[in-house]
Amino acid sequence: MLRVEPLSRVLELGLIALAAQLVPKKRRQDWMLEWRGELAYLHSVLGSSIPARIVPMRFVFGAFFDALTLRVIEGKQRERFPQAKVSPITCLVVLAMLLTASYGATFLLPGVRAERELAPAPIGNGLVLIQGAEEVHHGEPTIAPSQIRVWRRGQQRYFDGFAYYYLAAESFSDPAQPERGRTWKIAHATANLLPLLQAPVRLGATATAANYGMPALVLSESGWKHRYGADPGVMGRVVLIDAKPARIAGVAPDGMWMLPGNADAWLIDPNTEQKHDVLGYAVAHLTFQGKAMMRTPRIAITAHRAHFNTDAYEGIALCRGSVGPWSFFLYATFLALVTLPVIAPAEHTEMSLHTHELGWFRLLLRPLFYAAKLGLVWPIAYFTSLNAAYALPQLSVQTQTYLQLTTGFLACLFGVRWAILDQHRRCPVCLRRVTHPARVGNTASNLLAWSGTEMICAGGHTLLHIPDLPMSWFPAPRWHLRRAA
Amino acid sequence: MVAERKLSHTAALILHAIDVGYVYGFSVMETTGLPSGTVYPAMRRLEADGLICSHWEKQAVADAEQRPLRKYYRLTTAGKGTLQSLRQRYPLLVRLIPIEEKEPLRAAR
Repeated sequence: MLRVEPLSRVLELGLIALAAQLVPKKRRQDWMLEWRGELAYLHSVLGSSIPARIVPMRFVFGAFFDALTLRVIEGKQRERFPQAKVSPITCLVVLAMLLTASYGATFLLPGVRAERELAPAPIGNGLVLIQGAEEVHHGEPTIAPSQIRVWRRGQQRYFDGFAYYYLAAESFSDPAQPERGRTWKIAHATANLLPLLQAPVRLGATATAANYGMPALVLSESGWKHRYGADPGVMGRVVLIDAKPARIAGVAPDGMWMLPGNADAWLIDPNTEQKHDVLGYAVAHLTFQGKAMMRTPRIAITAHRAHFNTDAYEGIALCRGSVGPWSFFLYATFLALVTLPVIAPAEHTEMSLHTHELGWFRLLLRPLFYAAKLGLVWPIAYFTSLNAAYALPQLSVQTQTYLQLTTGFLACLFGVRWAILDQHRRCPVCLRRVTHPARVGNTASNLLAWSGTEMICAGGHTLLHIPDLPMSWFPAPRWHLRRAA
Repeated sequence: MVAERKLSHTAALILHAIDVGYVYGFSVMETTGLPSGTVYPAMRRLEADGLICSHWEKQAVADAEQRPLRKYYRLTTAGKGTLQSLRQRYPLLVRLIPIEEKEPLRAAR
């Protein structure tokens, strides 16, 4: 008979299987059998006779410690035999597993998943904010809805689309949480505003069904996190804006908004342009000719009225690069690369062997392996920084940004440092790490004697001479090919 | 006489629990109050040091009770000798898990 396991049980068994990968192969099956048996027993007595502190998931995490212990014990028992040193394939497989795990975690952690979906895309050029020429430096609203209607009706040469919004402080209440009503800054916007801005709004399923005849409300990311704790289930919920119903249709990421006024939410209201007693902001999209005219970030615009009257406006170009987790990580990478010389050894390894002795294939393999390591370490650092920063959605945006910068910086810095150190100790022939000391020298008393350590490759291909005291005749570690090999 | 091995109080507690009759990992965990991440690794070390040994129960027993196979642990001769020394070193062990509690049924609870 088929039995459907609950998701938590599947996850627990999956974790045990993951931990089993740490156990030496010959003992793995036995080990898994024991842990599965113990887990089955735990579930059979769960909630009855066992103390409440024993939680299945916590219990399963102990499997990782157990697996590691077993690995160490087995390793110690093998010490008297020649060890198969970490091969390049093993190294790359481990890195690939780490990459898969860190990437997979971005899908499993709800906060990180939301952040990835909300990551702002670059906003295209060709958008201008139109404001009255007098008030442009104050950033105050200057455009009446009637003006937009006039512009829409007229034939335009430089603009092919207009959007409009105005800000109002209005009461926001949710019938599902009546005790938490308060005043929000609401941007009443025309339906084409967010599409015109190419805002990466995360839309709920109900956003497409014309919202059942009521205006759609797009929450800001910070408002969504603060008010609803980043709950994705709020999509489609009906709330009251100034006692009028509106349906929550989506969430817009912080940093997306590049127009005046920080709104807590955007109300996509078809009647926005029909108001008479408000002033707001106009956003226009330039035609090809308009873009050709827009040679500076600001441009004077003259609107002609009847009887040869004109109104003076100013157009401000709206363009902005993408600012999001990826940009922060790139900045962290830059900082890490600048800092790297401080903690990474400046030494380089010399080779006292000729290219024809190794062959071109092996010569090429070494830098390729180095590049592969760096190529895996970098995305691991990125996904790790994402997971560390955005795992907890209740954190403020600033905290998440600092957290991502810090973790991205540290992961990049120490990841690249490890790759460099690891590469210095790889045999040029077989690319395995050399860890066998063939000879350990003492500090020389007369500077002429050898003082350093000599390591030999597990395969016997090469010797690595590491001077304890760098001399002019022996300044850096040096590889020697063993001719007998 | 077996020379006294330098074991921690936790390891001694686990050794004592096994001797008293808590003969599989979960029961040791339940009795000592230690987390799984402590109990199982400690038992691996004790086994590697030859103080305890393990064996799988018979398939028929597990089938009869409709549960997965269970691995049981018991003290070796060296383990018993070490535990005697440890009980003198840690006299509270016996008070934490009294020896009188030993019941054959606990092993197959």
